[in-house]
Amino acid sequence: MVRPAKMLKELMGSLCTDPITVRYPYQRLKMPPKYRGRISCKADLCVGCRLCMRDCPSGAIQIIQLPGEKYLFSYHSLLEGKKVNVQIEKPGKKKFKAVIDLGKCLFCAQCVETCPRKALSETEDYELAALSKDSLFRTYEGDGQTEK
Amino acid sequence: MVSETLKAAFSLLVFPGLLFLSSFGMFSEWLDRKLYARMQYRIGPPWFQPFADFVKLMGKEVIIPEAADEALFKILPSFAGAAVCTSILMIPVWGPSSVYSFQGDLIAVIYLLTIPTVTFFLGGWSSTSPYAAIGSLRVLTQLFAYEVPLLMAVLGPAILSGTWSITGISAFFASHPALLPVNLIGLAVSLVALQGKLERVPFDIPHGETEIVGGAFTEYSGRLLAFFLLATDMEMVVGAALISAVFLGGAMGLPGFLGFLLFVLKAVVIIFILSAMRALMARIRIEQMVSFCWKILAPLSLLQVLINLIVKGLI
Amino acid sequence: MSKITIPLGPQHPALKEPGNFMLVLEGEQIVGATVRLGYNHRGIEKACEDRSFIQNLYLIERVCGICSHSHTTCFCMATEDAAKIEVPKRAQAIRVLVGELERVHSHLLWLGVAGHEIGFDTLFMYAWKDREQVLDCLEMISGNRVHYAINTIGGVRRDVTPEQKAEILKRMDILEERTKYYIQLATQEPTVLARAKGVGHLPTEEAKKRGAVGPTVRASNVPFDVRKDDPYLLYDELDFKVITSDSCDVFGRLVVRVFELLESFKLIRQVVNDLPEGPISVKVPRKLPAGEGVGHYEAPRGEDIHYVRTNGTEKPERVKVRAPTLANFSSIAYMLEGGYLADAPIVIAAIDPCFSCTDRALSISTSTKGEYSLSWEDLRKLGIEFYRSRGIDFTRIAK
Repeated sequence: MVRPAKMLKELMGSLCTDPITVRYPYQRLKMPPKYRGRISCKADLCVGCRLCMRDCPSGAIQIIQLPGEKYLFSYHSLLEGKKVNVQIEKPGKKKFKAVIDLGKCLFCAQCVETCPRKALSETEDYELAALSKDSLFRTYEGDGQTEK
Repeated sequence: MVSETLKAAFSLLVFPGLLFLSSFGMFSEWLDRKLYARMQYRIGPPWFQPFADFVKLMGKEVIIPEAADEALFKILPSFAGAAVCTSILMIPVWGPSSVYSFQGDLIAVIYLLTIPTVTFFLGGWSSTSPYAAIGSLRVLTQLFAYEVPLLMAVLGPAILSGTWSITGISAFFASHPALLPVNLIGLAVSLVALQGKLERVPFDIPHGETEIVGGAFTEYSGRLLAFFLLATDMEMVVGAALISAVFLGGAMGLPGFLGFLLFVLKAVVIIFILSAMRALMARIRIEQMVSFCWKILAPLSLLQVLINLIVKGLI
Repeated sequence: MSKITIPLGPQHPALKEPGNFMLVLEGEQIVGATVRLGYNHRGIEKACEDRSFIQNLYLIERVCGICSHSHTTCFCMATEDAAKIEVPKRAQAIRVLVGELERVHSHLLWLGVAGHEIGFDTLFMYAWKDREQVLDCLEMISGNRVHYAINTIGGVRRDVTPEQKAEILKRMDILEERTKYYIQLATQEPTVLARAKGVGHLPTEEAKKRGAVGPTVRASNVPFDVRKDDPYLLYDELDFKVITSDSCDVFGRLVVRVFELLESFKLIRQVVNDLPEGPISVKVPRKLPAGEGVGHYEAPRGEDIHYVRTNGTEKPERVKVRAPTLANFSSIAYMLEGGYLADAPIVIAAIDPCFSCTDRALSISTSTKGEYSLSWEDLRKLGIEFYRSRGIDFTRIAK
């Protein structure tokens, strides 16, 4: 049976109801928990194994060792006949910082699963648009986060 | 003599000519897009959107294909706009009388409204692009399909009222409002045929977006395209005005500003119906459209003429 | 009447992805069609050889946006086949759940796109409004609307909680009602019937001869479905029908897809109500033993085949992807001829083309010079010379 204008009732009904599109940014939608947003890092827990760098599909994360404190002393070298300055690293825990390039990151969270120390975690932050490429590099040191 | 010329220039350029038509045309385009969007659970554009589109297109570069005839290419949009502006002069907009009216201006208006269609054809043909060529052929085929039902449908009220001038027809129906329902079939036929003339879904075959990119308008850009689109908007207003004057009694005898308000109200109702038709159906193929118009619309309009002849004989 | 050749694509409003169809027209009728591919080739198979299996998961997922889960699952099945890994039941059930949700998503998307191609924008908006329900489900389970990244080699990465299960069931009820409305609409609206019936005719023999897969071949009355013919994951324990239609045209394909939606709802309810307990993944070593594996999967568009060869290192030696649209492609040329130009977009859209899936390099060399390989610089030079010999000079455009 052919009925022309079949959708008429629905069309008139939709004129009286609210639209389902939202006026972003005046109205924002709430993301469900465990939404794949930005990856965040507690750099204190990082031991520098760099397994996350191995597993990242796009090479977005970089683990950089921070220069540690050093002992300075000098001695008079008999061989060279002058004063020589020596720097030796203090023994102790090495410190690292993580730099994530949001331009390459897939937000797949494979690094979160691979990290043996659970230093990386997912957030639900999705408003990551940027005006310059430099602000897409997010540096994570210590327990907080700085933008470079 | 000078005041006559001034009066004519005022009517042609300001009211109800170019300025009024373009602003009412933009308003009706906004109304149509807003209604279309709200029927689809969307929000729709803000009120200044058609004006913003016009301004944006005016600022773009005009690219003319090398093989095209440049003079013809450039002058066609102005022809379309001019024909539409002239046709509104014979339709009663302000009160029950139009600026110029004479016996037979019904036919003159319909003739003037085919000029934009012919300019679309010429524009597409002179573009020498394969998409535009196919689009312009479809424009002409569609013209042969809807023109006859449209003409015969408006013939009905003309027979009933015994006059060939639009002002006369609307004056007749203003004085005999009980005879309005006689033309119901004709109203339906002319609304469908108007949808074909304005090239809107289900009859937007000449510029079927997903099939032939832009149809006759494929190679047009910049201010030429802006004027073509403005001409289509104005055509919608003139079409709605014609139908409301011929089938719905026009200003119903009310003078001046009240008649104008009634005209606007009727035009808005017609635009609402056209938007609903646009949201309701898919686009059909050109040969399906031709067979639909000749097998269903034309006999219906003949039936309308027959009914009107019988009623005319009875009263 | 004289013949004109009109190019449909690579850039065309009818195509969602670039592909080229050169149509020879006489008036409005198409008398000849040549189909050409290759505009979306990204070298994924070669890129797979440079990355470890874990990285490859995400690369293979991005072969296509809509059938992303099909590609990942197929790749995982091929790798697990090569390395003889047994996947736990709960992981298989979650894979089936996400796969069927993806099928619902893809078919609703197709319904909207088909509506748009025939100029029925209202159907487009309504179908995509309902698609939001299934996208919310997927976002809840996997954290993303497309590219779910829920598979890993040896299982899945995320679990399904009871609240999520209840939410999924609620949304499936809403969607089932809307699907029944679309079935009524498709069979009763005269303009849709006018555009879809009798268009793009593909008789059964031609469909079998050209190797069509998926809803395209099921609409030509061939009951070919990988889930029934070669069951994988949990499909041999689930109860569903294979939908076929004998009208062999676009209308048949529309009917097959809409009824498949109803079957998918049934499947999703069965899986959610009966989710087996257990671990969600097994531990898999980084270096997989040498072997070869083949994965078969019924993607929303048809049969998807992946072949993986491992060689004992952590990178695969060869990965081959055969997407379903490639199998359907030769049918397009047959269906376009004899039709009208106005039907070309809907015929192309009716096989649900995904050109991103399709482009893989296949070199059939008939020259006697033998094989040679080009470095990146040589390839660029070759490209510039090729176009210069045809009169197109890129240095002019660079200014």
